[in-house]
Amino acid sequence: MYKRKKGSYLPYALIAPSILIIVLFLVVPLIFSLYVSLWRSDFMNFSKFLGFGNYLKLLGDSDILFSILRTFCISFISLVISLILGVSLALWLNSLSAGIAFVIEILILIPWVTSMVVSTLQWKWLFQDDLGLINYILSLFGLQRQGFLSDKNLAMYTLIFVMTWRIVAYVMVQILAGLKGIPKEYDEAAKIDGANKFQIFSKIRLPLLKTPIAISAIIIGLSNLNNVTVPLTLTGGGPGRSTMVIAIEAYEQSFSYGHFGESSALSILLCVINFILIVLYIKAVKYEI
Amino acid sequence: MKRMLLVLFLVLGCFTLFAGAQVETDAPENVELKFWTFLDPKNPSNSRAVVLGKLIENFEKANPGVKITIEPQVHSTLAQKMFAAHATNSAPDLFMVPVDMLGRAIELGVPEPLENMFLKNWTAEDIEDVTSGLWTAGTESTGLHYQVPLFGAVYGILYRADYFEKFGIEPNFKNWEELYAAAEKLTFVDEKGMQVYGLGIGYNPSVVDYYGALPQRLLNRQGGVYKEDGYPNDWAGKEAQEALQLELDAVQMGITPESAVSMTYEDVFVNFAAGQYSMMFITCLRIPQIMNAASFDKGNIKFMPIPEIKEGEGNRVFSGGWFTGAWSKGEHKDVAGKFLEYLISPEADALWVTEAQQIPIRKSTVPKIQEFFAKPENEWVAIAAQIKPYTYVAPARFSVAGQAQDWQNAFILAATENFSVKDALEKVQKDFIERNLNR
Repeated sequence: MYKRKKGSYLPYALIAPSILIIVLFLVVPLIFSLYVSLWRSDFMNFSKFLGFGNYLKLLGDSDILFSILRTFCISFISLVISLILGVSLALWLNSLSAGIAFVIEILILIPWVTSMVVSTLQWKWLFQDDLGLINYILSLFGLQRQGFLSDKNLAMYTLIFVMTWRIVAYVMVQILAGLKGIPKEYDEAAKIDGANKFQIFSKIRLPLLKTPIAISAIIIGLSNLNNVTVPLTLTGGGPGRSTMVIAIEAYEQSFSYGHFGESSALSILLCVINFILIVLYIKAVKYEI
Repeated sequence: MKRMLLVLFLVLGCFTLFAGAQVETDAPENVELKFWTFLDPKNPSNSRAVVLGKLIENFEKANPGVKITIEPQVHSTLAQKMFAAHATNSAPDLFMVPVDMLGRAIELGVPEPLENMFLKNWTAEDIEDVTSGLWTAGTESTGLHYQVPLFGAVYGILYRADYFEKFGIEPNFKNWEELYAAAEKLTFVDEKGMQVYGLGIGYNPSVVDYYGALPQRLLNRQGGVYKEDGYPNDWAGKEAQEALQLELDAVQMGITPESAVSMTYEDVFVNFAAGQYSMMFITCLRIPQIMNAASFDKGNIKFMPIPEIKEGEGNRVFSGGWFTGAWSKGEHKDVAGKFLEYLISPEADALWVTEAQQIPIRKSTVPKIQEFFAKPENEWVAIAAQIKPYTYVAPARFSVAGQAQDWQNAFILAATENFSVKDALEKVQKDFIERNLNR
C-alpha cells in the first residue's frame, strides 16, 4: 500500500488549484452573498444593517412563500416523471441490440445536449396560441386551441413538460450505465430460480440501481430547483404569477428592482434548501461517496 | 571595484528601463477605455452596433494610443450590474443605462457630470443644437448633465400600409376610439388562413416598456404620473381605471389576442414580422430590426404617432431607450468625455441617423441629410423626430424602478387573477411604493 512520505507536499500541490477555484468562485461569493443578505443593499449600496430583516420580510411575504411551494411542486413532479421515464427508457434500451440502442440513445440525448435557452425558445414557439405548431395540429383534428402558455391553469404543466423533456435523457444515461454494470449472471441465476421479469427487476436490478437513481435524483432535483433559464425563457413566471419560481423571484429582486439584499437572502434560502435536500437524499439512499 | 561599478550601472540601467516603461504606460496616449453596452460591434446584423464599431475605429485613429474595448452586456441586467460594479469600484469607464434608471444612477453617483469633462467648453450655440427633453434628463436636481442621449426612443404605432389600403383605413388617428375601430376592421383571416390581429401588445413582465393606454393616460391626464415627493399620483383613480379597462377591452374585442398576457414584446415583434399583426405599439429603436426580419415587403411597414386617449388631453409619450455616460470613478474621465463628445458630434450624429436610422440628436443634422429623409423607407425616422418634442422622461430625483413593469402587471392581474380594475391598480401602486419609497 502506498504510504505518503513524511513532509511530502505533492498531494496538497495537486489539489491546490481545484481548492483555489472552489474557494474563489464558490465559497467567497457565498460568504459575500450572506453578508449582502444582512443589509439593505439596493444596487449594492449598503445603506442599513438589517440582520435577518430581509429573511423575515421574505418569509412573511405570501407571494414568496407561494413561489417556494410552487418551485417544490414543479421540481418534484418533474423529478418523478423524469425518473419513471428515464428508468423505463433505460430498461427498454438495455433490451435492444447494440446498433439500434446506439441510434435511439443519440436521439434521446439531443434534448440534454441542446442549449437550454435555444430548446426552450423552440418549445415556446411550438406552444404559441396562434402561430404555434401544436395548436395548429390540434386545430387540424378539429380540437380547440389551448393556451399552453397564456392559460394560468395550463402554463405550469407546460413548464413541467419542458423541464422534464430536457432531463429525461440524463436520467436514462445514468440508469443505463448502472444496468450495464449489473453482471448478467445475476439475471440468469434468478431465471433458474424461477423469477419472472418483474421480480428480476424489483428484487435484483432495482436495488442495484439504487446508487445511479440516487445520483440522478440528486442532480436533476437540484437542477430543477435552481433552474431559472427554462421558466424565465418559457413563461417569465406568468401568466400572472402562475409559474413564478423562486429563482425568478431572486433574479427579479436583483435585476429588475436592484434589491440585492432581498435577492441574496432568497439565494441563501435556496442554498440552505439545496443543502438540506442533498443531506436527506444521501441519508435516504445510504449513498456513500 | 570595477565589478561592483558594473553591477551598479546594470542595476541603474534596468531601473531606468523600467521607469521608462512606467512612464510609457501612464502616458495619456496609452489609454484603454472599457465600455459596457448591449451592442456588440461584431454583430453585423445590428446597424447600431456597426455604427458604434465605425465610430470607435475613427476615434482610435484620431487619438493614437487610445483603445476602446467593448464588453457587451445583457441589456436587461446592464444597469444593475453597472451599479454593483460602481459600488465595488470595478466599473468600466463608459456605460449605457436605460432611460428610467438614470435617476438611480445619479443618486448613486455613477455618472460623471459632462460639465467636468467637455461641456464646460461648449458654446451656448452648441448646447442649443442638442437641447431636448432627452438631453436635459437628469438635470433637475443639480443642473448638471450626466449623459448623452444615445439612444433616445419615442413610442408610436407600427402599421401595415398594405392592410390599411386593403380596408380603406387612413392612418394618424385622432383618438383611441378611432384606433380601436380601425383595429377591429384590421382583424381578419388572411388568404393563407392566418389570423391577423388588429393591435399587437405584449404584457409579459420579463420584457418591459411603456406601451398601452395606462402609461399614456397617467402621463397626459391632469397632474401627471408622480407627486412632487415621488409618490404615485393616484394610479388607481378614475382615469387610470378607464385606461386599464381600455386595454382589457382590446382583448375582449378580439383585436389583441388573449395570449398577450404571456407574450413578451420580443414575441410581438417576431409575430409582426411574420405578418400576424396589422398594428403594434413600438419603440422606434426596434423598427430597423423588424424591417430586416419582415416576411413581407418592408416598404409596407409605416410608423405613426399614438393618438390621444381623450381629445384635448395631449399625446405626450414616455421616452424609452438609453443614455450613455462616463463613470465618475474612472481613471481616464477626460478621454472618456472626449469619446462621449465624439459620439454626439455632427459627424457621428449624421452616421447614427443615416446608417442606424436613429433619431437625430442635433437639430443641425436634419437639414444636412434631407436626401435621407426623402427616401420612403426612412419616412418613419422623420415621424419619430416629430414625436420627439412630446416625449417625457421620468424625473431623475427619485427612483421609478419597475414602474413600467407595474403597469403591465396591472393588466395581468385584471386579466388573469380576477382582480377588479381598481384592485389591480391599487395593488401595483402599493408594490411601487413598497419597492421604491417605503424602504
